[in-house]
Amino acid sequence: MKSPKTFFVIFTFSTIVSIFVVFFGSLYWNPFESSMHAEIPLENAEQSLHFASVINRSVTYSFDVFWPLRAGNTTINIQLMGVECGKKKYIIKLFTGEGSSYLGVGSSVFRLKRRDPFLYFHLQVILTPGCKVFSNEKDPVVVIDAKSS
Amino acid sequence: MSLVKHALSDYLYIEIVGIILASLMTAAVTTYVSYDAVYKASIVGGPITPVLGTRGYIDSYVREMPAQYYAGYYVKIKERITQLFLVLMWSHSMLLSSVYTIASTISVFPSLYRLRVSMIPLMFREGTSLHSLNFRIFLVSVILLTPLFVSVAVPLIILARGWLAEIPWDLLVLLLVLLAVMIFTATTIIHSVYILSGRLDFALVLALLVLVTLSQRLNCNMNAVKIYAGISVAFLLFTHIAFHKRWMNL
Repeated sequence: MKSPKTFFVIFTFSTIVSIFVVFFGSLYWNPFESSMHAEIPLENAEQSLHFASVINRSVTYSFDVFWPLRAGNTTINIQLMGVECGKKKYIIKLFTGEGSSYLGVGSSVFRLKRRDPFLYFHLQVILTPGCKVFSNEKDPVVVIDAKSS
Repeated sequence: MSLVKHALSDYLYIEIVGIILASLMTAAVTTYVSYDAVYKASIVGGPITPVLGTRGYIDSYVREMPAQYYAGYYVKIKERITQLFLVLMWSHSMLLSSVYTIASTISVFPSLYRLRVSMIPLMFREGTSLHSLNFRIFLVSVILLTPLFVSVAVPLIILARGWLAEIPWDLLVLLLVLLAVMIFTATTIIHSVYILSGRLDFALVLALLVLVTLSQRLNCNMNAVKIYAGISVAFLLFTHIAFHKRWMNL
């Protein structure tokens, strides 16, 4: 073989091989999970709701959620367990890292498009004065399911 | 230049397979280490999800933030993750430097061997100066390393393309330059020691020793790049001086 041809063969083949290795290696070694589940208890919900209903105001729980999650189209399913709200449902506000905000009433599903390998959103769960906690010993929980595809 | 052409045109398929194997090694190790580092960095650097419970506030006490506030906060998180990614990537520096040294040895050795074998006869026949000959040989080694540089850069760029969209790339560029300089230093040491002594085992052990020791002592910053570059220049100068003395003896 002549020298430019040799170098061309070397360069092409090794670039192809390294791209293949990166592709399959990133599938095999990717520690990011494609679905996440969390149950976040709301502390002292019963007392706060009782106090808030006296002065006719709502109670807000706000927190950050951050998970290492694969990039792609993500479905976030949020619902509240252990709270009975009747006709006036609880409100869920979701602020994403891209600067957009979503509003949901009752148990809600949000669909996001993500490019990052992390999932970040700020969540506000607003319990309107009509809500009541089931008389259990447990606190009510926010159940968050995130699935990336 | 005929020396260089001669060395490259004599390549067998098995030697090309060696270079491809080297780039495969480099790409695999870089991919694994970078995914591991970014996962750990995202666990350490992100805000904590309150899985143990969160406190509620009566509505009038809550100060509502605009959506832009959370976007800015997320960019801050990503910057922190990038810095942690660099640190965690560099915590694997011993593995990276040893694998890069072996990969550069595999890819450079056949051409070095050929050049060394045909060096002395060609020198008398062509009458080129020794210094330019040494530099040409070194140039071939660097050209043969470009596949390795590519296979270091590809996984890092593919990984970081998503989350570095809004924040500056300079930290990633620093990491890329540092890894490239690491490969370059390994090649320089192997090149100069092999050309001078003709012993591959000695060259490999010396390169591993220098790189592993350095990677344990240095941090991931511009200073490390300068030190690596300085060491490679020193080795090149040393080869040059030794060549000159030998030429005088002849």
